[in-house]
Amino acid sequence: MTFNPSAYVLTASETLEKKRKRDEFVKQNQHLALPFPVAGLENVIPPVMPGEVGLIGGGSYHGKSLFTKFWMYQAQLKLESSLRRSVIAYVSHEDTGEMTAAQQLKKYGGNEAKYEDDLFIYIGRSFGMKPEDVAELYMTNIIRALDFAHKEKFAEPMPFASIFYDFIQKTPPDPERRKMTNDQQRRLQIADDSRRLGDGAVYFSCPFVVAAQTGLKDLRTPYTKEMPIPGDGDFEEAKEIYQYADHAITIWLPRIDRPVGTRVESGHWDFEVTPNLFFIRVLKARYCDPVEWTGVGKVFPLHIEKDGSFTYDKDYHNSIYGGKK
Amino acid sequence: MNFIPLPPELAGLENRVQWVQQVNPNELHMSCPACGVQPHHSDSHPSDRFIVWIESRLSGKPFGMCRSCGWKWSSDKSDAVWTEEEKAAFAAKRRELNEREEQRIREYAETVVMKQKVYGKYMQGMATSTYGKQYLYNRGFTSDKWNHFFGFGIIEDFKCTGYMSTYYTPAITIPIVGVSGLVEQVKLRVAEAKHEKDRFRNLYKTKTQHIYLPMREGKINNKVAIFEGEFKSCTVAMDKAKNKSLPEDVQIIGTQGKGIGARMQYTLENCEVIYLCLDPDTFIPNERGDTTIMQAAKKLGYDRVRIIPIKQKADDAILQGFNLRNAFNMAVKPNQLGLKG
Repeated sequence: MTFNPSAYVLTASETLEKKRKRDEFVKQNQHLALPFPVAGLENVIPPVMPGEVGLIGGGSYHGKSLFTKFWMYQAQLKLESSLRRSVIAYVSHEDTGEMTAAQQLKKYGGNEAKYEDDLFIYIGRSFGMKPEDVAELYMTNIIRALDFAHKEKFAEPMPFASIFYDFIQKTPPDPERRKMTNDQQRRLQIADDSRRLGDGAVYFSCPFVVAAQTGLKDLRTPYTKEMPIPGDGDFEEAKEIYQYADHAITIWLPRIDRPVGTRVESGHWDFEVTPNLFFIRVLKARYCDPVEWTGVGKVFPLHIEKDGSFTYDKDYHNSIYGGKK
Repeated sequence: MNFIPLPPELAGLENRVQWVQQVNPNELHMSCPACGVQPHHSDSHPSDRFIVWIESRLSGKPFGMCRSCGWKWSSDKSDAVWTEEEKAAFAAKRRELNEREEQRIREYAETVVMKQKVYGKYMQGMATSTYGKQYLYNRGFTSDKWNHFFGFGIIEDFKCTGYMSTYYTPAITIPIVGVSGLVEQVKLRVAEAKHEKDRFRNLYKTKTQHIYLPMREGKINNKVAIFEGEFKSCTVAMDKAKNKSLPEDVQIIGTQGKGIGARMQYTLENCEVIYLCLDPDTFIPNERGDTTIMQAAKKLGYDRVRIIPIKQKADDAILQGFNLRNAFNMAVKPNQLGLKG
């Protein structure tokens, strides 16, 4: 492809025109946006728009998959009520097809009919697959699989309402990189995968939510020392994961780091660790006005319910933040 | 049945057909040399899909065609390349046959079924039947308004000549409203069937497959969805009205059993899209690897058929909260099922 510099060099007037176009796009595609899934926060944390990538970062066992699936479930409910003909795709290197079914079934109280009708596509390993089959699911083939689901799986081409990806670092390497000998090659692989996911969001014209693992050892940019919610510098192995994302949140499950019952005091925060206490930190939301979307840059306490859903209680938040107890 | 030997003009069909019946001096009906017979065909219920004229209007020679598979035969060529004139003649003949059949069904509906109007009596019985109402309620028919619309009735002591025994049982009745808007048949759901094969009965021997339109549109639309059984189609119709569980432009059709008969084929010949929503057992291959769902798709035309694969019967699934609209949105083409076609 020949480089066309004129597309990149814009006057103030042209940038204004771009702004108008984007505003129009956002206005016309509100129904395609993927709202933040937690009730009470959907108006303070901006939605992921079609073509954008939302990132969920968290340490191992901190609930990345759980939160991703909760978001996916909420998206499914929204999609069904809209009567749109689209599907939600879930690409997983973490769970199997049967594990996914078991977890989603729980959300429907075990009612198989209610899960079976979901406008949903799973891409990943499942019962009966061999290790070599799993290795085939590298990024190029994932995009191929998504394209197959989009164009060939159903009678008519099927648009994606949103795509969820769990998780980026677990993506098998491309065949030519399977014999990686150093960290640099690994970093390049992940950077490349992140870029292609971003391209995928644009290609499929839908919101793309990607889970990513943050540092397994010490964090470089934690929220505070006592509340080690990962920051922008903590994405494991490649900074490009964060750079390519349009939206990013990180998560923290205190009971993984602190015994239940421990009292945590940090800045304005003062709370006791409970088994289901969970925090999110909203790191960035590109294109979104932080004055309008007041949740950007903030930390919110949530609770994990028995059915795998996440709830936010503003009164509880106020009670543990700012000395309002 | 009045079977006759093949006349000498049709010697070319010797040993290739069964159940030759003479309709008039020029017209004979028999099984088809190409698509044969179905397991349910017997001496008392013979196949009559292949129609042969000893002197065809076009050539004056013997000519035959199958109402089911379209296979054509004449004494000097069988289903080879036919001229445009011949094709037009086949189409005209086929239309004539179909119209004749429709006329027969209409006349029977008007002069027998609707004149006797026994379904009206059964409907009145339902109005005071606790058993009947409870039966319908258990099957998800909870609205008196809808039950009245569908015309559900009850025979409290139906004598069921069953597969294993004869016994008395309550039976729910439903008037089968066809494309013409006439009540063509009265279908019975034997409420306390002692054998699986005893569950459904027709009140009249109409010798045809009835196409049931639960919403009584009086015509066939461009897009239709075929459901296996009248009660199932009623459940879907109700769900569509209540929950928009089907796209607005898709018409619901109930078919008797799984098979797609000749009448269904010609009735739906102008449909652009046909959704097939048959029971899960139609996806199970037989010993030859064939499946009912693919056979049905083949008869209706692979290109226009969309299949709705549901792991349960549609009405059971709906009662458990299944969103049928999603299943329609995820419809597949027959070749995407990966079954033998």
